[in-house]
Amino acid sequence: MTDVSVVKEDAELAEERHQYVTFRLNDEIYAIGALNVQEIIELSNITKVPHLPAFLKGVINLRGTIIPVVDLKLKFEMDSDGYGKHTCVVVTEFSGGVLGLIVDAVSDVMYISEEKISAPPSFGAQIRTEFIKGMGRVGDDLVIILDVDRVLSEADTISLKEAKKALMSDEEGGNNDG
Amino acid sequence: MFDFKKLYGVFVDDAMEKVVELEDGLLQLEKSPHDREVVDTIFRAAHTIKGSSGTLGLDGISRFTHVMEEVLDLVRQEELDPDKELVNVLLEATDMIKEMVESVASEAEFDFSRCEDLMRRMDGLREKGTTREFKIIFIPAPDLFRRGIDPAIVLDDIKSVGEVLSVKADTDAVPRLSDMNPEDLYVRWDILLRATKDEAEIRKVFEFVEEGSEIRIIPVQAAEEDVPYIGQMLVEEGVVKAEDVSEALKSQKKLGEILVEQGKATSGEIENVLKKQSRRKVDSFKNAVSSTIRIDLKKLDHLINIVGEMVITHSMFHQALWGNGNGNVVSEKLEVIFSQLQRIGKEIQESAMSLRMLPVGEVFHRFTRLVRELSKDKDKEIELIISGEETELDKGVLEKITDPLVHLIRNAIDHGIESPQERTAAGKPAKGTIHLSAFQLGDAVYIEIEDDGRGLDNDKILRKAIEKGFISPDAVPSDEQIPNLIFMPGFSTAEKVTDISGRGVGMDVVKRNIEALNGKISIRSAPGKGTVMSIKLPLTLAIIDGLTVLVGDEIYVLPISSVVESLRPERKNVKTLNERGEVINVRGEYIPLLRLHELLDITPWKRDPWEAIVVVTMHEGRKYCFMVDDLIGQQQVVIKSLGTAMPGVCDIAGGTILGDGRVALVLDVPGLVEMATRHVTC
Repeated sequence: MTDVSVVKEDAELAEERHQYVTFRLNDEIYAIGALNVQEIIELSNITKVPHLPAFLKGVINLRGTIIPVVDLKLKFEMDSDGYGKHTCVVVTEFSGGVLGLIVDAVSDVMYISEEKISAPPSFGAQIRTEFIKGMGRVGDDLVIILDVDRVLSEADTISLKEAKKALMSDEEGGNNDG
Repeated sequence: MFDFKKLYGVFVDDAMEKVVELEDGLLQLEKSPHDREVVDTIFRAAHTIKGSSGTLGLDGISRFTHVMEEVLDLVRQEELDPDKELVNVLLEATDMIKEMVESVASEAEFDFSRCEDLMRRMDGLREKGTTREFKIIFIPAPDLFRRGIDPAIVLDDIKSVGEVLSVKADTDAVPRLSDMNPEDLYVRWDILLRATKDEAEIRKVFEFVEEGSEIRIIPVQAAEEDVPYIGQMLVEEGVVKAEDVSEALKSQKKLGEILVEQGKATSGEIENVLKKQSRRKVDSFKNAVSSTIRIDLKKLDHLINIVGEMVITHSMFHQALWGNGNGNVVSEKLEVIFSQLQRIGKEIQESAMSLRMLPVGEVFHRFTRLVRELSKDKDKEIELIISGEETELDKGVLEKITDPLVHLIRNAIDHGIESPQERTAAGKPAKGTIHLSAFQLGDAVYIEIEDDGRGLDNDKILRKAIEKGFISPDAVPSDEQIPNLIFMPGFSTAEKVTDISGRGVGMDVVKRNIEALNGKISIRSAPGKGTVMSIKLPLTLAIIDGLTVLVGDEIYVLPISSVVESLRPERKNVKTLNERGEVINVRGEYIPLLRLHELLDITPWKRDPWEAIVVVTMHEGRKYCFMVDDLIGQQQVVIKSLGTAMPGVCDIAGGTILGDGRVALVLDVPGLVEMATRHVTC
């Protein structure tokens, strides 16, 4: 008896595992595993936190909890022309905690089967692909599936530290004998 | 098979609690060895650990605590005196139990052979002091006299195996004089004996009279001594056999049945009463179950979070209704209901916060042990007096205050209290005291550590401070200021490093830890009389009094605890040094100016200090002016983390949610100062 329900749960879980929340950044479509998405909220007041790289926009109030938000377009070094009426925050849970991702618009929740996902192509050193989990084909569209754990990865934490160091040395230069 | 491991977590929590009870109890026992309640508490604690470990198949722990329990049982029966040696061994045993329980928690293997020695020592204790009471029923053979044995000699001999409490001659069997055979022995004796020997040893006394006599040696249990059941008495007195009693009991009818038979009550009535009785039994069982429950801290924090959220939503609601000058639109009735709701909301928030509060006694009692051990090591006699243990502190604060307190108490033992010889020479009692107290005053809790030792040597401190360049040689600090110099980083007056204190972890670390809790520490000291370390702590970590300031478009919160004053300086009082560093003359004192907008990388509204506001703050005895655009106000704020995904920023202590739902950052003054003075370590 229990076995049956376990199998069923597994099947459901497998189904959910192939569900993706897709969103737009400029003209490209990106996706995150639906299991990683906690909710999608309107973009509200962001409080800037000093000394952080530009893509870490700051923190927001998510019903009483403070969470950091990342501007994905800035993170991916894409052109950005401010926030519009469809701009929203995809609240995701990943190994490091809860993180808000600012995206142009959320498009859909869709099912992408495993066989339609291929490994990320290699572009060499110019284009960073480490946070891309795979490329999915949905009709004529190409969906870039993100690895949430890597969006704010170890490398970024290190670069953050470096950014901070750079900032300090700037101040040292400009603030001598202070 | 059922997996006991699932229950280990509960067991570990419970057992740890009991270990603390054991430790506290043992220490108290040493002070008042005849306190029945203390003994009972210790016994129960050991018994619970034994029981629960046994149920979970943790045989090692169960076996070990069983031995401990047996020792304690003897203490409970006042057959073993809880002297220093006993307490020492039992404290060691408690440590061993703690280790074993910890190994269960970490799922590590525990080498039970390590317990053997302690178990042997505990057994030793038991044998040393085991005095048990025996009831000896001696029914001599009637022909004893004819065999040339005088029972009086036997009765005399009993004294050699123990203390005879009472001897009762039972003459019921003596026949009338006319029927009596003078050569026969008709008397039997009941003897109450207290002995360290066991039954077999006692029996040896009766070796010569054994033949034909009946000798019963019954160990007396303390509990059964009160009022034994009639059945038991009958057996003891030799009237009937134990089997007879149990048989009789089985055939006995229940009271209810008898009453029904006799027509005194109907079976329905009896049934009703029986039901009531069983309900009462359940009730009394319920009362026996502790009135506290254990809650996962995460759940509690979640509750506090959502309650905080509710309060914020509430003030947003308030703003929506009354803000922007539309106050007249809302009816008076609504206003009444609203303020009522607000009051309830505040109450809920307060009581939710209070759930995190714990009495400081829990931490304080751990120090009894510390003081005991350390003073023994240092050959000093020190008594720790604890007061105000019921004072409550936030769990988070309480956890973080323990280490600084350990340090301060160690300091008091090591440097504060003199050796007994020195003390006697100075005309003080040889035994030193450390008074650890806690009390609440307003929004703060004070913890004070007071010793009656030699006090601080102000001259030495001053010399050292000048030597190390902390103050200039011609400075004239007041007598109150000098002791506080020892909080400067790198300051240590200890002439030699000992293993207790003076290991380089100085008072500056203590101070920093306390300041990290938004607390303050200060010293009062009188030479030859003693030292008082006073720690002031906020009631909770999560709520601080904040000064909200505006820098550019951003609102920041500065903890009031580090703010001295705020002012708008006059133009003539703003000076530059080397054309770069700015200082502000505040009533003759030149204080460095730090522009917050520069530190925080923000475009400000005002660039000239005489148009803006400066907030004077104090950090490690030095003042700094922070320039802000404007002051908004003073309010209590709930500090929250910026989320685990956020990299740490050294000048931000956290965030808080303002009345309008926006997040404001709470600034960390030490971090800002460090940033500004370029000692960046974070």
